Amino acid sequence: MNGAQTLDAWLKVQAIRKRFGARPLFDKVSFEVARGQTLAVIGASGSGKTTLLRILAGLDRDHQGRIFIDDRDVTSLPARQRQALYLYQEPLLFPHLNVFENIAFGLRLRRLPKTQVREQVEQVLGEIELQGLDARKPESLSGGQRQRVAFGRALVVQPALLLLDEPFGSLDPETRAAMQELFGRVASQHRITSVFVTHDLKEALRVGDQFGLIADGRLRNYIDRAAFCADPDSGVQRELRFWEALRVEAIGSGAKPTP
Amino acid sequence: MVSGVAVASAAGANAAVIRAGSTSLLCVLIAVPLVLLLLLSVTRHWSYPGLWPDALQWSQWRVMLSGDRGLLDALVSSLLIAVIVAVGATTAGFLTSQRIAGHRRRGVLLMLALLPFAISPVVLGVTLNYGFIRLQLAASLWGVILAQFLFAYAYAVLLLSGFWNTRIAALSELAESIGADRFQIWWRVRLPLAAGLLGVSLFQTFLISWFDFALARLIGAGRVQTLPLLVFDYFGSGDFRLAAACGVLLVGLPLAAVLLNRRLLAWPLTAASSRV
Amino acid sequence: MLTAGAVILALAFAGLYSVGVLGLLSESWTTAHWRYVLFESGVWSALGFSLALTLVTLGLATVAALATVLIVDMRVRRGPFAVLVYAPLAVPGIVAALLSYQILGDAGLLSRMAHAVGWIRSPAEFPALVFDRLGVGIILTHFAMITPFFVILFDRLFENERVAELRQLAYTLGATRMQALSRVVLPLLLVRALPVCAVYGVVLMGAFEVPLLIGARYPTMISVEIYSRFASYDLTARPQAYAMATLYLLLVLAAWSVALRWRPRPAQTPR
Repeated sequence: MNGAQTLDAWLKVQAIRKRFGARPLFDKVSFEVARGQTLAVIGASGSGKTTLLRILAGLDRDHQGRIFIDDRDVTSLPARQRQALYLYQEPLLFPHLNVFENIAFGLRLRRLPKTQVREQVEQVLGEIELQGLDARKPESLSGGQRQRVAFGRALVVQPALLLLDEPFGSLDPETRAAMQELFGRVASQHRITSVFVTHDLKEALRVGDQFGLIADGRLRNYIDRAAFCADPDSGVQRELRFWEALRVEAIGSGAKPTP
Repeated sequence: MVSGVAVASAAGANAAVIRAGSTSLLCVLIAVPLVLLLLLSVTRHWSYPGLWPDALQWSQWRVMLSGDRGLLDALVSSLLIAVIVAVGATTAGFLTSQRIAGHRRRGVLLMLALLPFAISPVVLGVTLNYGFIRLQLAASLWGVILAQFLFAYAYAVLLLSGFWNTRIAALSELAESIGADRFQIWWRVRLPLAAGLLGVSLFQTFLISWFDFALARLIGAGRVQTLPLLVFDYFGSGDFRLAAACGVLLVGLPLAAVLLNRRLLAWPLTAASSRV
Repeated sequence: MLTAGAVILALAFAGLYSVGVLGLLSESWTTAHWRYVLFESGVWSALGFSLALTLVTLGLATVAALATVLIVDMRVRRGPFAVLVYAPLAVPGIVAALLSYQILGDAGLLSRMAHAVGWIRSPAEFPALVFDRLGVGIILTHFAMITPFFVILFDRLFENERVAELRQLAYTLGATRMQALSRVVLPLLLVRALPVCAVYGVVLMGAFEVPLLIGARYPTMISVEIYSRFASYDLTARPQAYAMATLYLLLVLAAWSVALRWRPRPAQTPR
């Protein structure tokens, strides 16, 4: 069955079709995401995950199908009118602006008064735990810090939809875990609807409320987490078997677990 | 072991001496012609075989700049023309290089845009000359400006095309995603990031016009006077003092600028090492 | 919409160009001019001379610049040399020619220095370095103009390509100084500098001011050849100038399109 029907679907995607030259990339991709939920999408490299996000963001308008955000048909709208923010894999910060200005960028575009900008940016700085770093330039920040700033910049404009393209891929495992936790907390606090693309199973399970799998030009929707885990194609079963085999081998060899 | 160390340090000391010596020699080689230029501009007589001029008259500078030798006029003309060419060529070059960068056939377009620069200025001047006569641009200030512009524009396109890489494209897209309209993308993202390179382009296109001799002569046809043309005229008439004076004016401005900010000439050098 | 801007500018240029070319064609439609230019005018020896001078100058400049970078320590970035090396870049051809005349001429600085140490007794004994048939003065002047630029170029490449580190690596792998130089340092620097050298080669081919002021009457470089026919009082020489200019243009176009084929195509990858 294609398409989990949720009652208050914030994002509705219908029959997206995309070709690359003669090759079809997607064929009738449809799904829905409820308000404030995160759809975690798993897929192998080259499966078109990035293209899908760019289509949702409005950065790629060469496709068929329709997209609705909050019951508005945004298919023909350009990126800047969709309020759908796309976060790149590499934290892409404006090199000529410091942390404060990077975060404030979206607010400055809307010509908000200075005091309001300051207030909102400071609040966000607190949420992403980077207070005191507002005067720093991007080049002096670590990967994790940069990704936080990219986050903060997205948060502060309160987008209708957040599109994350393997945002933590370039971070080390500890920073990654911290970022996943931060994202989960902030997203639920602000009731942000997002589509989170990753190839890391653990990450998907950690951040996702809903789940999807891109393969062969289609997106498979799952009713719930259990369904996702049960599907042999999602890779969860394979992982479990691997760890299970390891556990059995450890018991069999009589190795004693170190305290 | 000890002798080994001693030999090594002796070799090291030798190398240091060679290094210091060559460096000093090169510095002298560079400084001498420049000093010579300055001296020539205030020398009335320099009889052979003296190694120093007979007499130096620094007061000559006030006379030369007072106006009847044409130095001041040529200086003003040169400045005016060069500023117009620099601003025009940089602006046009910036916009064109952006169009080219996003185009599918950018390799071909780039080569085409560079054509005016590839042929010698004389050839450019000769081929444009007839057309300019027809358009009544010959022997006019604007004719010279246009001809120099074509040359400088080709150069600016080459120089500024290095700016439009995938990073800038991604940053522009990002800004659009956050909500910026086209004007805001230019004003808040592209221009600030291009500022350094634009400065370099302005300076170098200014120099192309400031130093130009062939086009000013061929298109100007005697009606337009610039500093390089004056150098030539005075050289031809054997008045080396005035020729050198024009030379000092010609060289002085760029020399000061470059010594203060060496990055103004950075572009062709960094392009070689970061060729995409 | 996207291509409109580029196309308009390209068209404007082509327009002016073709008017000039039409002028050329109408004036030199009679093949007499072309026949003269191609077979009797000595345009080929001018081209050959230009090419020879260009190659010699480039060769000398490359060698000198490499030697300088490898011997002199430019890493002392604030030292006088590192700053002074930029100075010659502020000197245009016309002033360089003037200075060359004053230094290399028979009553010039070098001649006076030779007199001071007793090598010569009068200006006439000084060898002709300017207005000479081999173009020595032209070569030396261009050499002085472009070598500083090459020094800066090789120095930058040295830094950016981490040549010092790679050379060190070669040493640890057992290379001698000569081997490290010829197998690592030189290939790296020369290959990376090639495009810039090619551009300078093109510029030198079309050199004008220097050969105009201190070149001999014959042989002369192509730009001077074209100019002297264009500006001559004998008006019949003008169409010849146009024809020569067109010839040069065609040759450059041909070389340009060959270079076009060599250019690596920018990769277009879908995301």
